[in-house]
Amino acid sequence: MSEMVSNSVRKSEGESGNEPVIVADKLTRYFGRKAVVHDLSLSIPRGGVTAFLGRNGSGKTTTIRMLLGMLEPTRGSSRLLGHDSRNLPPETRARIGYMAEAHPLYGWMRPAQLADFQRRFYPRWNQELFEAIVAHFRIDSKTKAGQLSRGQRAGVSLGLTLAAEPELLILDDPALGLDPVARRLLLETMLFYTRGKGRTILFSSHQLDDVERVADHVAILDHAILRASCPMEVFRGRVREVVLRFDGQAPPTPSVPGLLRTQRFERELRLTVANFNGHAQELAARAGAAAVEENELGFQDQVLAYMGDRGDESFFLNSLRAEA
Amino acid sequence: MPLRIVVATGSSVPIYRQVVEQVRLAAATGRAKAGDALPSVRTLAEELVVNPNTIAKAYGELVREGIAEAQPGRGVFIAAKRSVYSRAERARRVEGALEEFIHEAVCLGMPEEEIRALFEKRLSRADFKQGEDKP
Amino acid sequence: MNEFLAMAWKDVREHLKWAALLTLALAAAMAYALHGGGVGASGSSFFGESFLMISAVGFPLAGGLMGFLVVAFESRRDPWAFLIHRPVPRPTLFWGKIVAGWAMYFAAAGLPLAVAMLWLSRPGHVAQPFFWGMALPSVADWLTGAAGVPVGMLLALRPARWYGSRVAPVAACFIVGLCNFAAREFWQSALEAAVGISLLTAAARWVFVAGISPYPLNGWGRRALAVVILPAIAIGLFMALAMAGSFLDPESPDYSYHRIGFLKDGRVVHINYPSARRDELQLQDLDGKPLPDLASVHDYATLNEKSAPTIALARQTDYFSIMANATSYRHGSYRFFIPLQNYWSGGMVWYFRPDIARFVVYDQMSSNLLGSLGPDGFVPADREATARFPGVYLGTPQESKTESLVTFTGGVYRVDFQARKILATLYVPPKWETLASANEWVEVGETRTVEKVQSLVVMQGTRVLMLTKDGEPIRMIDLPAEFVKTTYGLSLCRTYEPDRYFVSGIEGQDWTGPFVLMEVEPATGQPGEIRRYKQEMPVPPPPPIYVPGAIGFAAAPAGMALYAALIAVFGRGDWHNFWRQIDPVMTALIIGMAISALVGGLACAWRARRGGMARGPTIAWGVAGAWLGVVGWLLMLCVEDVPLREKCPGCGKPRLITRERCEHCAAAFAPPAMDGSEVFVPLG
Repeated sequence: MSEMVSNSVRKSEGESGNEPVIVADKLTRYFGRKAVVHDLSLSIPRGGVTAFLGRNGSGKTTTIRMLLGMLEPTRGSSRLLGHDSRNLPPETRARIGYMAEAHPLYGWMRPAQLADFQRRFYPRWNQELFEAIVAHFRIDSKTKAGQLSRGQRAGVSLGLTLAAEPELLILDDPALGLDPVARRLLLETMLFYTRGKGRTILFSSHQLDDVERVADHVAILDHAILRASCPMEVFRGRVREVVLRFDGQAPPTPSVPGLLRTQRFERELRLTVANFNGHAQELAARAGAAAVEENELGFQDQVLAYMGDRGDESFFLNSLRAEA
Repeated sequence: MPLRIVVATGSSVPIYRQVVEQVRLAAATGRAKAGDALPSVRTLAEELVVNPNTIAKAYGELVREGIAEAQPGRGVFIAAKRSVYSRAERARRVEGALEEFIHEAVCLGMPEEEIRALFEKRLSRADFKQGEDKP
Repeated sequence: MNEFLAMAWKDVREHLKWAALLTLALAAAMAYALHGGGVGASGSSFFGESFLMISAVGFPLAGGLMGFLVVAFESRRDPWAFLIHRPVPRPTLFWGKIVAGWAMYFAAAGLPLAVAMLWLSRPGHVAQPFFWGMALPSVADWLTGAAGVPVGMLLALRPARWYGSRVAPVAACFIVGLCNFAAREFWQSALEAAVGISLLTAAARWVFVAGISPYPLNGWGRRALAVVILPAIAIGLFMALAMAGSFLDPESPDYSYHRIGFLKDGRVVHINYPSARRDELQLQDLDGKPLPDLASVHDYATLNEKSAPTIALARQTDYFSIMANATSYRHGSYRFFIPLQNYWSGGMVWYFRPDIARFVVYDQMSSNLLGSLGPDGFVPADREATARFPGVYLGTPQESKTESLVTFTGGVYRVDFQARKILATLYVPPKWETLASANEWVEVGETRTVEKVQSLVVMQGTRVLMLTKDGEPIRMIDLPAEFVKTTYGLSLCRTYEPDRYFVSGIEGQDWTGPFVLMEVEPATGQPGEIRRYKQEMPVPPPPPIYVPGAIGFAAAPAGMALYAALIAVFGRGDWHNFWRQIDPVMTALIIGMAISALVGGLACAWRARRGGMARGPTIAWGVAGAWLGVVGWLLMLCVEDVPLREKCPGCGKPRLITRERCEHCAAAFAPPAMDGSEVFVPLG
């Protein structure tokens, strides 16, 4: 498929090459009295894969819709490829591929008809690429979209999106409802897409092992607030587990800046801490612990720590003990 | 035998370090010989279904550590064996492995002489020349 | 263009099934209306009620369905994103969709209509003359129905805070249909449809561009939407208040009605008809005193028995002319032919065709033209007939009988429709005169079955002629010109015991003036003294003052102005008088209106200020509120989104959540609290 990839990165006039492809500045959106996205500032440079993580309802989709100019921000602003999201000119939209959640397609069309329809809107349509992706997902081109499985629909969606040769790809939970095989196909296609130079992906997902495989950057949204935006390795290094062991009953959790999660066991406190300063011994002394140990965590645990409730309520055993 | 690298997600070890470790181990145990070509970044990334940048980063690390060397235009190759680990590190790693070995053997109730005999037997079979520095 | 076509084509393909189904449904309905629906001369054609019902109601519904379909499936979040994220300006997508909707609507409604037109145009299908012009009302409805498409789109698109505002555009569509209905000429209908459709389309376009989770509409969008929503609010509020008013005032008013009547014994009496409070009619003399010998007359049968025969006289040629009905191109077939009411007799259906000034007759069974009847007698369909009846057709007074009098301004004929024969030419006026009316004087005997034609009464200018039933002159009455000019509803009555003649009517065109009564000397035909009796109007008692007050509150100045304009244009004066007669009602209306204007203006201005609008729009909304009252305020709720406010971290006052800086103290919003877990490292 490699010869199908165009390496050219198109730039419109007045757009500097160094400008980040996505910039959000204090983006805020209320639904009713509740802020579902609160003061989100983010800058994603050209190239690379950014994973956008957060629980359902944390504001990922709302953010993406604001970025694409489909939802008006309550305040704040954002720019895509150098253009204000509220007013993306069609030429810029042509350079952005977007896959909405749940892979909406016209159910009565066959994949080939979908491509025929879609290509009328995109001057640089790559039919070969579309066919290759559809073949990769093993989709019978005679089946109507409404009768395709989730994974096949995702494949058609992806084909339609990538055949337009976008330089920025925004995928809203593309793995939603996919089986492991389809998820793997999806990852392979996403990686294939990044072969083109200067191509950028922003995708939201709940599949943390997939994210671990493909993401260069992570951005974590927790209850409407962006808590992390950094390169993957930085993130992996910043969130660690500190285990405090006590001789007797563990005391109340000591205050630690960046504490994400506390797990309380018989004679042990396991703290998941972001930006831990490394002074483990000092912490142990302060908490009266007999021993201290610092562990690295798997990516999944790191992200889970961000998404769960903070502090002592974070592990249900804690509250059970508190009641006892 | 071609070098086979596998990665596991969900581990506390980041993927790029898993790649580094596996290549390093292969080089250290002689499964990969000096001059062997590593797969290209793109090939390995697609094979493992991971971000190519991750592989590039791992290769960068391997080159920096001297385990591999990059030949511009040709690719990345296992470097001639230098001291891959510091003395102390080497000792730490071997001790770790020994600890596990002995623990397992004791737990399974193997008498001390038998353990010793087994260790001697395996040691005599090991090919020390394989990983040696080339003149 | 390419994108536009792609969009339109996609939507046509997507909903073709529905369009086909709709075509079939409309075709079936039309077939039913034309074939089995209405039996009768006018009931089975373009002017049939059921056929016009299909085009007037069914067409906009069909349009609405098409408009709804082209958007409904894509107005949910994810499909909408798939639709909108295309490198084309959104209006292009909109035009693609609405054109698809229109195309399908015009086809779905137009195909059956065209077939119906062709079918009707072929002889032998409907026992009726055919003119292509008869299709115009349906064609006007076909054009007007296109207004349904943007309305359907608005219904499917507009996220609305309350469902009322979502269905609001339907009222606008209804108004467009109403205007089409009221139009007198086809071009008026077409123009009205064009204006209405443009407005609705403009509203739909801006709403579409704003999206389903809307960006605020721009000025034009807001204006178009306001115009579209306004009728719904106004109608809704008015109806709500009227209903509330009827609950508040459960006692229905007592409408009484009376008139002057003539008895066979020569007496002239007041007849008070039964009303809500009185279930018997009562007779009094003209001065209002009871008549003891008639105290037992309480029912219509007895009254009829005692009443002297009365005959209507037309005062002007065109006044009672049947052609006066041809004022609108869409109500009735009168511009093309006039159906006679004797269609049931002998399996024949008769019409008068003004264009050839002859009667034509169709066979009811075969629907074929049998021939035509003129002053020269009956001419079968296969032979050419040229003789025309003279002057304007004034009607056949007793056309339900086979033998009937037929009146033209140029002559009176006796025709036997059953035998298809002219029996006699009864009267032909002198060349310089035209007839205004001709009627047979029928004496009603002891029982209604005995009817004797005594004489023929013809009105010609200011002169009333009495002729024998064969046309020989008996007597002549010359009415004073001034009397004829000012009196409406003229009739001639003859009593028996003393042989007296009376001419009576009502003074003034609006039917509210006094009864006018004039006795005519029978021997000489000399008019006598003119007497007037004040007519007590059938006026309901004044409603409690809060009802008109509430109406005033709903109407506000603009509503009142519109109301006054409607009365001036369409009113016959009754309501006008009604309001003028009862001063407290008018006062209540004006007070209600003032309150509404004040409340509406202040509420709108306050809401605009709170919403942080600029001075211009604030004033504009204030004026709109004052002008439209509560309706204006409701309109603002529908059209203008006012952002929420929350407490400012700087000064503690409520501030708009949409502004970066506080409008009071210029403080920014507090960023979300940091908890030390933030990992922000620039990417790349």
